[in-house]
Amino acid sequence: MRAVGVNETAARYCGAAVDRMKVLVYTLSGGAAGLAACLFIARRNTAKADVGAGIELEVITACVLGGVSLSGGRGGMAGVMAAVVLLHEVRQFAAWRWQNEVVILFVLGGLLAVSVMASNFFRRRG
Amino acid sequence: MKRINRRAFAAGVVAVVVGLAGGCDTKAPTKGAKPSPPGGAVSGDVGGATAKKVRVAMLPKKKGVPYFTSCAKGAEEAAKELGVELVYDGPTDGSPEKAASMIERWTAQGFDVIAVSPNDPAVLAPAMKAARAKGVHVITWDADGEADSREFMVNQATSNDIGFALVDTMVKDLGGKEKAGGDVAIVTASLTAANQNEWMGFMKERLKEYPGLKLVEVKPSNEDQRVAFQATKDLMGAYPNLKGVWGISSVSFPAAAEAVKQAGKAGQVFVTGLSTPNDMKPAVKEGTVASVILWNTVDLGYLTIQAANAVARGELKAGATAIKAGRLGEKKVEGDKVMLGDILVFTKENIDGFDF
Repeated sequence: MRAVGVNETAARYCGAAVDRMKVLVYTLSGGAAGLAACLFIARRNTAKADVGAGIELEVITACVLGGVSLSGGRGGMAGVMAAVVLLHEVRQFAAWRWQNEVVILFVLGGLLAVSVMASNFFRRRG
Repeated sequence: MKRINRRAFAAGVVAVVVGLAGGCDTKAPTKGAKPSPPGGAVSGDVGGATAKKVRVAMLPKKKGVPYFTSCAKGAEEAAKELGVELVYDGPTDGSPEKAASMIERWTAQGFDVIAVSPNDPAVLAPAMKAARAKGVHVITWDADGEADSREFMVNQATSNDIGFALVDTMVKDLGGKEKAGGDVAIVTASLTAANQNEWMGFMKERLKEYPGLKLVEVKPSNEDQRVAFQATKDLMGAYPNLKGVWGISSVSFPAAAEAVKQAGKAGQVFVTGLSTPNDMKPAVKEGTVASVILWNTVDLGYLTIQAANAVARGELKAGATAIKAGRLGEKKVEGDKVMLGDILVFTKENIDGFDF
């Protein structure tokens, strides 16, 4: 999976089953979305098609903060899970301190910007 | 080199977050806290009810809608008067799921009262019940929630009065009982909102007395002006015999009037409904709309906080028939509904006298 993410063409020439890998990844992603939907319905007593709109900000923040590279090829579950917990803590703190949904959004967006900048910084130095 | 720096950065972020989290007090923010009121212990958990500040969280269906903002104004007035700590916050997109998360958060933060205007009673009920289970008082205002999810509801006027007034006003606009005939339609808020649904129930009942009017469709607008505008356009297109449109949400009414005006049908298709006078002043002045129905929203917000304070202090309990509501005097309590009182009708003659 990582090889395909880093350089798809090189992976293909190395003999990796690139297309199969991509189908697998997207299938897993869809499956995860379905599982998340079931958990959401159990929690919130409702099912709407557009309820997840806007949640990408938090998801991408969690991934980048957890070490997943935006250009592909790097990342792992442990980092992302830790980042999810961290993000939850930041959100709870921001909610308590400012009591305003718009400010919370601003804080999470700021965290995303910081994570992306940090990941770029470390990539260049490494 | 890269590895060490990465770890150091991650450790730094975690340290900052833990440090900030460690500094928080679950009862009240310690940073920038106002000086305690004279003779009161703000941070004490054990203290007489009269000494501790009552903390109320107020949740509108959708934050940013002028109707709710005017309620918030009244609420802040009451909060200042009573020395209540008020947090007014809500989802800017009206999403009941986000509202449910906010209620859960406030429960964890130890608020005394949560006042909710539910956009979807079924979605909010679990969070509201969980809050009640933790000892938080929950009341509803403007729109009702499920019966066992709240102690009281602060109601603007009886749904009966509102529904009947809406139909009677439309009939008057259409020329009276004899002349009124044709298709009529309703543009509501969201299809799950309890208040609009109750009003529509009474509207349908009242419409039975005017057999010349046929209710052809009910369209939702989800408190979105663009959706309401489009819905009205669609209605005018689909029903050539359309004579009247009700916009029964403060957002759908001005949008419906604008749609009728832009279609050049002002005077052929009559629009009436519920909205704030400020939002409807242009349409009323131009003549697109003859009457606007509402109630004093500032007073509704004011009464909500008065009721919240009374519930928190144990002054408002089941079986009460009235509460003292500050500058509003004594307000009737009918069952579990705290009644604000009468509806207001705004027309060209009196609309300038109101500013909300």
